[in-house]
Amino acid sequence: MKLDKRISDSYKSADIPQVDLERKIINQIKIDQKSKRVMNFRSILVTCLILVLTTTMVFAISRIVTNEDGSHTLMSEDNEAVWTIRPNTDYSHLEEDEASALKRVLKEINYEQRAEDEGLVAYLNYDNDKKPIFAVLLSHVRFQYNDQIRETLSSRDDTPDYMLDVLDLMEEDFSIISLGYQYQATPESEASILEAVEEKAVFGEVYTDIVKTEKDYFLCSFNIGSKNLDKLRDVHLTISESSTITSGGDHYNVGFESMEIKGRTVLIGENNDDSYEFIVEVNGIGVFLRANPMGDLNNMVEIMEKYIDLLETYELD
Amino acid sequence: MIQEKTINDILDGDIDCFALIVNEYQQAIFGYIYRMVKNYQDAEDLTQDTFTKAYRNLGTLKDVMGLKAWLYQIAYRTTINYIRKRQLKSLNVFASPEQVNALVYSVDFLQEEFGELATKIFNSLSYKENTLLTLRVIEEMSYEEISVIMSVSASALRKRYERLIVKLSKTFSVERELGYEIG
Repeated sequence: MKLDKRISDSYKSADIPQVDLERKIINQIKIDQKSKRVMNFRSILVTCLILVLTTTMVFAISRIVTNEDGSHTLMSEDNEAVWTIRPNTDYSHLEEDEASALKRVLKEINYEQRAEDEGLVAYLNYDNDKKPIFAVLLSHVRFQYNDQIRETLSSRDDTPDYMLDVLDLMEEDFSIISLGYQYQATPESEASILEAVEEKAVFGEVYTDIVKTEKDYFLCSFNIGSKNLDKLRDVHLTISESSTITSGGDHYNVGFESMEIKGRTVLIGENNDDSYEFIVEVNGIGVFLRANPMGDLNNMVEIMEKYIDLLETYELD
Repeated sequence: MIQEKTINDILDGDIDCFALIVNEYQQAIFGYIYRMVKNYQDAEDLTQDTFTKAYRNLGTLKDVMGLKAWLYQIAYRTTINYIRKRQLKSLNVFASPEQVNALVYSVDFLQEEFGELATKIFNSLSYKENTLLTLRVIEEMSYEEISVIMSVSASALRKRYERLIVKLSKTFSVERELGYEIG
């Protein structure tokens, strides 16, 4: 008998126990349906309860904290906050026309180029107590990536030293489709801008303004195409000197864990669409990778290892 | 063989009709998952998950002829998610495939029917290799059918399978020279 046939026969000969799960499965389905009906009646109450609980909840693994605003903070070994993932704007609380007005303004902001020390603020004054639900700060420019853009980036004085090495590394595994870069405010300056804007905003309207800002943090985000679709798909990468990153957040994220890669603590968010988010901070530079690893998280771990190796050779001023 | 009417009856709310699907495919799905996780209890739970997910999403099934492949697709995703989560809970297991395999194949593997050599070699397969081997050898599926389940192109799967068989043949040959027998 040929060896490959014997291998197949051998594989087939594994003793698989017999099962009879019919009753269990049908019962489970019936229970699920019952719970679903109960959930519908209670969903509002439960949602409120979760909101209250998450304000004080600290994950058991202790290095990830859920904040009052729904964001998640990765804590360092010595319990200092080093990275926060902020959820996207939740439009679900808005009326349709309010949501579309806000989206339109945000879109316009993304297309408008401003000097580096200027930013646009979009602010929707929504709640009765004037609680801001969203603000976009500072200049944000997005380009289709090509040789000319790369040349422009390399000639700009304010492009960080590590960025060109990052681009080279990125092109090993990905085709860069577009990049957007911005300077982001510190939490302190952001708070003061919001406070000033809050006074001017009118209830229920989207308010925009141009503000002067300090050039604090550099942030560059990339839409990239994977060169190996068997390993990674739907890839997005952000390199940032800020300690805040915007992700799908609560609406989309189903859980967080942390792990060690190359001696660094990496925050991992699992999303409800088979994609994951990996966030690591190396010498003050943050790497945020979101992708669908096609069922094998090692595909994302390999990428993170490369960026950690590269960024470990740099120190921010 | 499940008919389209059965699917329609289930979608119309006849939960008990779903038992026909469970009876037809539970052993095959359980066997596939069991080969992946090598643990009876986990395989039973994951099989249950697979069928409850199938019930919830039955409306998305496009063609009753593709029911079996569709169930395997759900089973594949359910099982790799389980394996990934198990990996996540043990923080440093990502370093090498050997470590992952050591974790995945560490417990409760029934060895009665496999020879020592076969057990040793098949235990070293990754879950992707195991899936490919199960669907190709046990289920005798075409590469096109497996392609839908694993989200990998049929041509890539053909190459992977050929490479896998060559690798296994070599491993068996080398080990046999060292005195083992295939079970």
